[in-house]
Amino acid sequence: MAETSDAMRVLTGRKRDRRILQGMLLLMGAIWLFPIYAAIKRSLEGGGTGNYTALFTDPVGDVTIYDTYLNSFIIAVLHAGIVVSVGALAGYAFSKLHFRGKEALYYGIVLCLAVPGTAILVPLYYTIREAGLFDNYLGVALPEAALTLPFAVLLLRNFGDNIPDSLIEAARMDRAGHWQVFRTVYLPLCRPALVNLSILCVMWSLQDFLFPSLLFTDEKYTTAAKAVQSFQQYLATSPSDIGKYNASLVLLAVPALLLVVFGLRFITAGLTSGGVKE
Amino acid sequence: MAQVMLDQVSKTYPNGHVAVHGMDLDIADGEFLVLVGPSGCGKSTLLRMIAGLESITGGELRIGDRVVNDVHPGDRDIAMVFQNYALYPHYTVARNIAYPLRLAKRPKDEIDRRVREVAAMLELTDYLDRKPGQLSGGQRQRVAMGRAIIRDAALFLMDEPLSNLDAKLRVQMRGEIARLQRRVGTTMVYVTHDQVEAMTMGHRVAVLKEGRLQQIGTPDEIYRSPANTFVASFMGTPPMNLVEARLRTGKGGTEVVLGGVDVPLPAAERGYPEGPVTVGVRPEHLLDASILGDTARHVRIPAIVEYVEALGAEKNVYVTLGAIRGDATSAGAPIACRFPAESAVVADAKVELALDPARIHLFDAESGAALR
Amino acid sequence: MTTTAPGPAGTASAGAGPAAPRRLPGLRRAGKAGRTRKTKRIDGPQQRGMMRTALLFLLPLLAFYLVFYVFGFVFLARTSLQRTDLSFLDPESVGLENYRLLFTDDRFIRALLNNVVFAAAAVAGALTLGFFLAVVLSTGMRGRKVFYAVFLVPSLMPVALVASVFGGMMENRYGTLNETLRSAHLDFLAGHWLTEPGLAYAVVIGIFVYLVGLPIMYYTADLSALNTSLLEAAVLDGASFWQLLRTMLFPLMRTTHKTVVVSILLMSFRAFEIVFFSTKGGPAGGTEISGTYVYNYATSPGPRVGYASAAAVVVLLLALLLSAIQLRFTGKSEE
Repeated sequence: MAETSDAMRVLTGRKRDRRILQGMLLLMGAIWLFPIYAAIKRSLEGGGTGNYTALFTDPVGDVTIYDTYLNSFIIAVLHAGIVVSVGALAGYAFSKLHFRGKEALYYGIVLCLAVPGTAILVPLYYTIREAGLFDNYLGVALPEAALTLPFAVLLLRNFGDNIPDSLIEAARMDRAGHWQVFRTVYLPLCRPALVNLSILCVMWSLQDFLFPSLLFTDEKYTTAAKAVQSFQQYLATSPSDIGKYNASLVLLAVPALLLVVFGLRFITAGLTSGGVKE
Repeated sequence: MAQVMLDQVSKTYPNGHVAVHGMDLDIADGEFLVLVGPSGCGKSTLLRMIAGLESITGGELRIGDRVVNDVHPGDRDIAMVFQNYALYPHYTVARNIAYPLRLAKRPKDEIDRRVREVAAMLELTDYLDRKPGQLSGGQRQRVAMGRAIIRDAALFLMDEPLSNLDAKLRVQMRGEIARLQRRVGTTMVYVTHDQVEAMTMGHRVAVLKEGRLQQIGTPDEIYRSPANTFVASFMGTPPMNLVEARLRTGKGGTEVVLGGVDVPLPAAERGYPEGPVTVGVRPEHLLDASILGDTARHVRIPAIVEYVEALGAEKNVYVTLGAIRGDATSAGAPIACRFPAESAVVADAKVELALDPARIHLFDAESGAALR
Repeated sequence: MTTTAPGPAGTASAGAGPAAPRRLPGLRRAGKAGRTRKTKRIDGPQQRGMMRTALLFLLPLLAFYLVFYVFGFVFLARTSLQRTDLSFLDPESVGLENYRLLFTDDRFIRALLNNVVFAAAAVAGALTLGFFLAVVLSTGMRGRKVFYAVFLVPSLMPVALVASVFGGMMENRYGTLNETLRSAHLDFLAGHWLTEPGLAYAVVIGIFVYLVGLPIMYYTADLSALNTSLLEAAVLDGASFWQLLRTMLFPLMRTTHKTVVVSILLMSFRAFEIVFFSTKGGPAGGTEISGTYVYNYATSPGPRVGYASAAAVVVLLLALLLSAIQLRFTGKSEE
């Protein structure tokens, strides 16, 4: 390892280049941090840190910050659970079973990676309403899962194809049925990919504004991402509340921030998997 | 062209591991020096330090007459051939070879001319428009050489350049590289773990182990008078036989007991104190007495054949010294002998070895250093 | 941008990253080994059994696809031929009228065009700035982990949040940007960022470029797998850092450039929150993109859902087309 970093260091070897680069990096870093600085600075206007504490004690509309965290968390867990279980089953079929039309089907599944959530908004609204899932956590988690599943299949197939067939075949020779092979061989081996996938699902849930804003009508279901909008309606209109509004933005970033800081390894591995394997 | 001087050069990694201990080495202008040693001996690290790809953590490195410890690798005037060739996959052969000159902003017609010259020298003319991915291993190797040659650098560094080639090509390229170096006359430092390359290619060989220089000298010197047991057993196939034995004073002066036989040492080696010693004998110096005829200077030692490797032109015969198996003096690995093909030895039979005592090497039993 | 956007939601999640499948082993296999292996290994009745097993494993996935994609697309296509509202009661069939209106609406055309322009700006930012930052961070600069986080984290945050922060920061009177500029006596630089058409456009582009984290992530991953002896060879051949960038690193990252371009293009269809939370598409629809266009019509009162559906169909087809092209060429480049 020591050797690698030394090797890359050689690239910027000359001292003058190095200093220029370090300077550019600092400048870019400052620019990138500016919005964060801006949000924090404004969040203290008016009430100082009181802006923050108030958000935990006084509900905005119907919810406190805690409630939005909880709502986001519940949806994220549902979303991850659905995607991981449905994805793992499908991944096994695509990686380890041979059946006619497999590649065409796979192609069709992965093609839907491109579907933007806004484009299927209308049918989603109809479907969720007909299913009676308005104002229900599942009503948001299911569409989120639908949008994530193409990626899940892609990720798990990339991963699963690298599990040697001989392992599966050996288990089959021991007279294990496919369900047993799936549970006892495939799932344990896929664990790293499944962990990456679930962390990504949680992250995407936390990012999701569209579905909660459309499919929840009751304010008590407000998620952290949706609160960006609803808090704005309540707080951003009066200048005296602007500090509180910015404080809410900072606080709403906390769940995603914690996830990213502690799960960056998994997020990176999940997003770049399929590439750079050799 | 330049001479290279290492003065107590060392490399210590941040984690405290020392890859190269204070190393002194003088490489003459125009010399072909081979650094050889087992993997992990620090030879590649040392080469990369000379190139500037690894930082030097102690001592002084001079190329020509300047100290280059802190000189950027690109400013050291060094050309290097990497083990994996490091050809630029997105460029054609011609662009690969021309790359150093293009960076130096040389005129286009000069670049063209030089590329053609180098390509002709390396028989690459027909492949100039191909990409590296379309070349065979040997061709890639030559492109890497071409890129090094075209620069007229002061120093060539080669990091195991032949290890990715198949055996036959390796033999051929061995000769080509040595010839090329003679032709261009550039100082060359060549790293390998292959003792055959070390023996056949360089003017001098430096043997490394665990970051320390064990011996430096011409291939002949290294082979004939290894400085210690490590060098003795590293160079040569099969390696030199090393046997634990005892020196004592007998009627013929100082002698050593091998296979129950007292072997008197030649005059030059007398005068060592009695006691334990490591005796080294090269396989080719253990002869088959039955086809040798009578000679006075050879001592005869009984042995039992363990197994025989017939190689065609010769036979490697592995024996246990002593008249019977299980003799206490024969503990340890079997002794290798190299017999001519006409030798009639067979496994499990007795054989009589003939040894010229002048061929015996003595090493200190504890330190392994040669006794001379 | 990256990418990813957002996830799901509007972003779909999946998107993101995903979008850029860098390698599709499955597809390649389809052509070659897979097929031969298949035929060799399996015979009639067994294959039928295999088919049944496969179907069982795929059942949940297929159910999702049937409900959300197959039914969704059909429903969308049908609605796009109707005049209706979100109650979907009493739809009135209007034939292709919605599409006619759509293609004569300058705002829709502009929204699509903006999509392309914003994506192009993001691509340009990623290929230059993103690439450059990834390289610099890979060379063991001091504090590289911190810098990496600074550039990457905003891209992994809810886009709604990032865009809102930008919106607030760019606000004319109290926005931190103008305040900072004024306190630095650079008043002439302070502007009506969100309301002046040119500036608002620039702000949206700025957010797109700001979200450069995922390209940096892709490049970093690719760089860490790079054969360093290539770079060392070039350094010894006399290449300066800038020459290395141009003659070695940039061309060697070709596959990643493709990944980045495609993921950004796809992401631009989902980048609804970027606009929605900063300029709201304004002024006068100048920064509208496909996502906000569809969303605004779908959620506005009145019988405009059919019209929104028609717009959604167009966007969907464009996105799928792009994805199909990309799958083709990832599939191929494998060989």
